[in-house]
Amino acid sequence: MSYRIIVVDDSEFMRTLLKEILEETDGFKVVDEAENGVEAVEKYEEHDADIVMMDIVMPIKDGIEATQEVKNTAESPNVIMCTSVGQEEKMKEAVKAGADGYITKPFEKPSVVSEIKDVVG
Amino acid sequence: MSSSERKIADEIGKFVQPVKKGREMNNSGWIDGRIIVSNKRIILASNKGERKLPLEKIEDVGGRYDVNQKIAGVSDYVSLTLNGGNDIILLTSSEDTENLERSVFGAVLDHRYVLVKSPAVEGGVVQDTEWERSKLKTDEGELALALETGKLVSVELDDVSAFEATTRSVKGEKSGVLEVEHTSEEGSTVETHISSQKRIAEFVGSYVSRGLEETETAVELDETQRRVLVALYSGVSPFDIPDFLDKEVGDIEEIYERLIEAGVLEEVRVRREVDLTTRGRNMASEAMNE
Repeated sequence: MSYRIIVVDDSEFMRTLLKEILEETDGFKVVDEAENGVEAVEKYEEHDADIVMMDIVMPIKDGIEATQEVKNTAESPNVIMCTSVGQEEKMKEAVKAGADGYITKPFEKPSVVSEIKDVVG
Repeated sequence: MSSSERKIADEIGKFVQPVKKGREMNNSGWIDGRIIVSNKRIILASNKGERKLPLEKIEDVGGRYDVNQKIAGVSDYVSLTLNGGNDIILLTSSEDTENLERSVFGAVLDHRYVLVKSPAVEGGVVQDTEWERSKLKTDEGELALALETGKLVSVELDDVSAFEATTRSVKGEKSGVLEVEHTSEEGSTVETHISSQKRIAEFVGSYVSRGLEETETAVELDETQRRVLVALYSGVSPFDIPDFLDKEVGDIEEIYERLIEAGVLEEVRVRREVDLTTRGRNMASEAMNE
């Protein structure tokens, strides 16, 4: 089984980095990417993804609001926040919004893979 | 010295006490003498007499105490903290102050038993490792931990990237723990956790933080250089970085050079880009037609 993943980050570089890590891992397939919360919700609905890798701070709509929206859908995908050092308060909001896990930038492949596997069980 | 006392260092040098009973001694000056470090004490001998500092009275090593120009003028000295910081004694060797400092750390730490969890974290993932009794040994540029099970953990001071003193549950009891982040022999980022009585923990912290001071160099990076570091950290192969960042190989090689010089990267292997000569092309053609 291959988990369908959407990568959401306003930085193209960070999206590319995360895609590189995920696409090298068996069982993960990146089906699309988004650069803000509005696109994140649209792409999720378009692909009916299993997992959304969600950056927190983004323009137009942030990751917390986008997380709330996708978690309120019937399918409710797994949402893993991509956080940075110093975003502890934002992470608490993300958890309240329904986030299922988090990874910290800069990403280390073993911890990214481990966190996703923990979240999807 | 008694039969159980062992000399570790015996150096000609200078010493001074810039802080005495909580007061800064602004008129203090260096005294010429002999500095002997044993496994039990430090002896400071001059033509004015001898002063013996039992090792158990020394609470920490490190810090600058430039109370006047005479002391500030010496760039390299070893500072000993006693009596809750109310007494500070500085030592400097005429030959090798760094070696003298290592001798002091060795006198306090070597052969001490601590509890170690290694690796406690590897590649950002918490490991299911147990606490083990372990013997400490300081070596040049290294803190070696010999675990009861026979495993040897080496913390190279140059490879220490962070450390934090915190409180954790150790064998069912809340205890002070030093969390040291460093690079393992295999090249991955690991955390080794060390738990011991407060004084020893402070010494271990001071010892490993010497490596941290050396790794915390201020290096100005531009955006591309930052991306190179982040990509390498995340596991992108150095050979894939040019394509990954959509840059010329030559430009990335120059960045690698600069970061190697700055001590941010280390060269592991040089790979060569090759092309066929005319002779090579002919031989390939023959090989294909065989």
